[in-house]
Parts: sequence; C-alpha cells; structure tokens
Amino acid sequence: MKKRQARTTAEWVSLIISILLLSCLVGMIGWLWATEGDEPAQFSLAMGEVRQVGEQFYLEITVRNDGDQAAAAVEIVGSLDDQQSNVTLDLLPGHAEQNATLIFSSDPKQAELAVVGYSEP
Amino acid sequence: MWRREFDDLLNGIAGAFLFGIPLLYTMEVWDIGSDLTPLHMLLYLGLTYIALVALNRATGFRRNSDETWSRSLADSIEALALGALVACFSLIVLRRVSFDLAYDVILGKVILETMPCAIGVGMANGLLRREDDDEAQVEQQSFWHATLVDAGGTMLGATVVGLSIAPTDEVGVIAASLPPWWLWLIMAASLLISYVIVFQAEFGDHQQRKQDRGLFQSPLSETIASYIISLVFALVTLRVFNQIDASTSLAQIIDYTIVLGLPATVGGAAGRLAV
Repeated sequence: MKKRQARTTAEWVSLIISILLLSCLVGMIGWLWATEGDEPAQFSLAMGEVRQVGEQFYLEITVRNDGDQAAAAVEIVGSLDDQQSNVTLDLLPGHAEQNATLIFSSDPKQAELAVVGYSEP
Repeated sequence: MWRREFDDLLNGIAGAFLFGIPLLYTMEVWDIGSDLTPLHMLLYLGLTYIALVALNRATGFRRNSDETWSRSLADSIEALALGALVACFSLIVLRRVSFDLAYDVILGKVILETMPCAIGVGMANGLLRREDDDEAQVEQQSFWHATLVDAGGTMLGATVVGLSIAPTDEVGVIAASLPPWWLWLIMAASLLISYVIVFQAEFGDHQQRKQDRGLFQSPLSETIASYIISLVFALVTLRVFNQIDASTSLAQIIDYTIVLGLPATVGGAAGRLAV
C-alpha cells in the first residue's frame, strides 16, 4: 500500500476527458428526451431497383418508420395484377429504415406496395 | 507519469473486453438496446456508476490507488467513460452500429453494452493483475513446457468462449452484415485487443519479463500465436455445432471463423491468465 498520493496531471487529464465524454453522452440522452415524441409507428415505402434473375424479377424496397415507436413483424405486401409477394421485417425502430426485396414473376414497375400490419415489440 | 496513466487505462480497457465480450455477442442486448427510452438510458448509466463506485472500493483498475472516496468517485467516472468507449468501438467493429441508424437506436445500444464493459473496467485489477507470488514458480521451465502451458491455456479459453458463442445465431448475423474487407478490420481489432490484454497481464509495469517463456516470449509473438490458435479453435467449435459443414462455401467459413475469432482470442487471453 502506497502512501497517499496527490493526483498526477495525467490522471487529471483522463478524468477531464472522461467527464467530457460522459457529459456528451448524457447531453445526447437529454436531447433525445426533449425531442422524443410518442407517435405510433407509421410507414412509408419506396421502390428501388429491379433486377432480373432468370424468369424472376427482384424488386428492392425501402421501408421507413416515420413514427417514434418501434414496430415488430412489419408485413409488406406487393401486388401486381393477380400476383402477390410479401416480406416481413422482424423489427423496425422509430425513425429508422430497412431494405427488403420482393420477388415477382413479371416486371414489377407497376406493382402496388402496402404495409399491411405490424405488432408492438 | 503519463506512461503509468496510459498503463492504467489500458488495464481498464483489457478488463472491459474480458468481461464485456460475451454480451457484445448477444442479439437480445442489441434489440433491447434499440428500444430504450431516454429515462432508462439515464437510469442504467446511473446504476452502473453506483456499481462501479462499489467495485472501485474493492478492486478498480488503477495500480496503487489509495482508497479515498474522492478517488473512487473519480475513478468510477473514468471507468464509465472507458466502458462507453469500448462498447462504442466494439459495436462499430461488429457493425451493430452505423451512422445510418436512428440516434436513439445507436445511443441505446451503446449504453446497454456500456454496462458490462464498464463493470469489466471496474474489475480489471481482479481479472488481470496477478499477485507477485507466482514469480517463484516461473523460474526454470523449459522452452517447450512453457510454450505448451501457454498454448494449452489459450486453447482452453478459446474453446470455452467459442463453445458459448458458436452455437448461437450471432456469428451468422454479424458475418452476414459485413463486406469482405471489413474482416481485416475485425482481424486487426482482435490482434489489438489480444495484445492489450496480454501486455497488461504479463508485461505492463512488471519489470521482470519472465525468462524462457517459449514461443510466447514477446507480447507480439504471443499475440500472433494465440490469435492463430484461437482461429483454429473457433473453426473447430463452429464445426462441432454444425454451423459449417462440407457444403459450406469457403467464403462463409472464413467469415464465420474470423467473426468468432474475436471473442475466441479474448477467451484465449483469459485462459492464459488462468493457467
């Protein structure tokens, strides 16, 4: 056991940097809190590129949750003439987006996309 | 003075990885983290701080810290910040956090992973610093004996950690989200973390570099040798749990092995400390 030592400059420097870092973290949480809303999940869909693989067409889509709350099991259905394709996203947090792909057997430029349901996580 | 401080901080970082790695490889933690409210974030940080103060009274991460209250309180702030840094670094390396995610998701994940990492910092002395009483038994081990003991420890640690992570889905999930060049980053991080742990445990401040320690003689060769052993054992445990088999593509085998190699090499370092 050493005798009582005064804090060295180096220790002060790391303490100060640590305090700065943590204040940043706490500050960001505060900012989140202040701007936090309580909007339930709501979605917007955007079509991306189509690529053809053999006989099939792969349509990339981007699903965005514009609400504040997260959504689970988000189901997206794409319909084109009499075909339907669907995909389910496990979890889509608020203000986040995720990509998915729907597969059709003809060119899906005219496909209708819709989010048909989700559950609360 | 600066050297010593740097040394103490590295010690804390090593502890954070040792303790935090299993939870960094847990999907549930990422998911729960993405859905934290700001109130919970603050609460968790506060709770972790209190736990750290208690830990710092007992062990902490600084050498020779006199145990005054003001010192414990200040050290705990540093431990929390180090834990947050380690959590942030690891989540970025594992691609669990990227800047196209929403801020609250990023912050939630980082804060939840900060908890185990910061606790690891607080226990760093207990985890890493061996008492000096094992100097006696080190004296004259033969080259091969020393190599064998260290290699055995590495295998043991790598296998234990490998066994606990290999059968889960995390390896696949992480591997699937990485572009190929990212694997270099993971390898570099594995080597760096392993080096920090090894250096802290065996060579930091202890003037006596142990003699005749076989292949594991210098920190650099020890790091590389143990990384290679860990990769082999990562591969073996992946095979044992059928995560890879004869039909798996080579690219996927490499992906999985390197992703599991990171916790395995941390486990290997812990294993060497244990033997």
